[in-house]
Amino acid sequence: MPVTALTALACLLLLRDATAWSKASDTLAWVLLGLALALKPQLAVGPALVLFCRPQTRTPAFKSGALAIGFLFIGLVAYRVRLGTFHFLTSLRWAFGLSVMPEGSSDFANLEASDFLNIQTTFAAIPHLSRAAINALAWTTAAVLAGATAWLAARTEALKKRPWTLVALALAISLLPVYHRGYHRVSALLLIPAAAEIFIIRKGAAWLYCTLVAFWIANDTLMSYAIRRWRYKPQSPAEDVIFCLLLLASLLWTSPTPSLDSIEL
Amino acid sequence: MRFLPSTRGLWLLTMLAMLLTGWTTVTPARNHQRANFGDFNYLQAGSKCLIARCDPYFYASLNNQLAAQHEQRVDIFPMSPVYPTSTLMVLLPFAALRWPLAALVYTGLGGLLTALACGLMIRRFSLRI
Repeated sequence: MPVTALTALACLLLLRDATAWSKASDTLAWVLLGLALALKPQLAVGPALVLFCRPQTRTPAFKSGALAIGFLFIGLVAYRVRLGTFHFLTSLRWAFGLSVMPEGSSDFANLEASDFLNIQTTFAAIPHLSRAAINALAWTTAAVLAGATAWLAARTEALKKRPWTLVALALAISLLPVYHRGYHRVSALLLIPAAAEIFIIRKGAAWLYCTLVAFWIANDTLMSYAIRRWRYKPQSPAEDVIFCLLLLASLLWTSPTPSLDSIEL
Repeated sequence: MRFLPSTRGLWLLTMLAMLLTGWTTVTPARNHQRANFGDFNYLQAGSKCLIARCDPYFYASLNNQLAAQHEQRVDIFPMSPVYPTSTLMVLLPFAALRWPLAALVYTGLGGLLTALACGLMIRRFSLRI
């Protein structure tokens, strides 16, 4: 699914300095983001939320959401009116339950367990923990990280100065509580630009961040092909939490130079 | 903003990450005989089903639809169709294409968009490799 590419293109068009703004690129951006949201909402919703929170990009982000909801509504009407069945609701329940239900991602019996990115797979490694507790822990982890992001964003003016870091955080956090597969690592395209913002403040931290992201992506290759015989290794979601914490810490560091957008290219 | 040559290693690492990302994108297409383009298989079938007035969220309907069109694909399992209806709406144009042409066009389009996003990012952040 080209969801990440569509989202990345929309972010590139919208997260620019005001002088480079044009109505045509603005329109293109919200259409691309709208298509991404319609195709796979769980991947595009984080960056879209960050864009919605920024006053400069609120309108296009709102239009994107409206476009996606429009597609959803028309599809639902077409489906319900023309067919009148309820299989859609059954599938929806399955989709929500997929992260924790038997044979879902946190089930050790699942031979593909190493391929999942949601944090339930890591919590499932704790002995004697019920599925409800695993799910509660996963959502609590994501909620705490999201809360910390929102708090730090408000405290440090990150929406204005560090938009790519917030996009990376929103994306990484949104991967944690809901069913995600190894191929969703393609979303790293939206994680990489945060390194440029961290680099301005601390070079070493930017190196560490890039290394963590590179290993996180490479896990797919390593786990799926090279060390699959070692069975289940739920380190990928934990690694996601680690680079989230690094991004959060970077928001606290004082920038010696202006933000990326205010620097003339 | 220009990154100095001394930071070349950092950006080489970044490019490595991007290449790995590209690799994980290309893999499903490379293994299409086995994986049959993953979720796109039933999503494109679902879009066809929506037009033909069959149920895109019922696996038997999807398999019947594919059988009626004599298309050789991997069978769709029960509970496979979990994407929202908005996905089917966006993919409606691909319902007009035959299999595997639809999947190849879709994968190609995805690859082009990813390459474009990578290229624009390199330009945006003025990466010097």
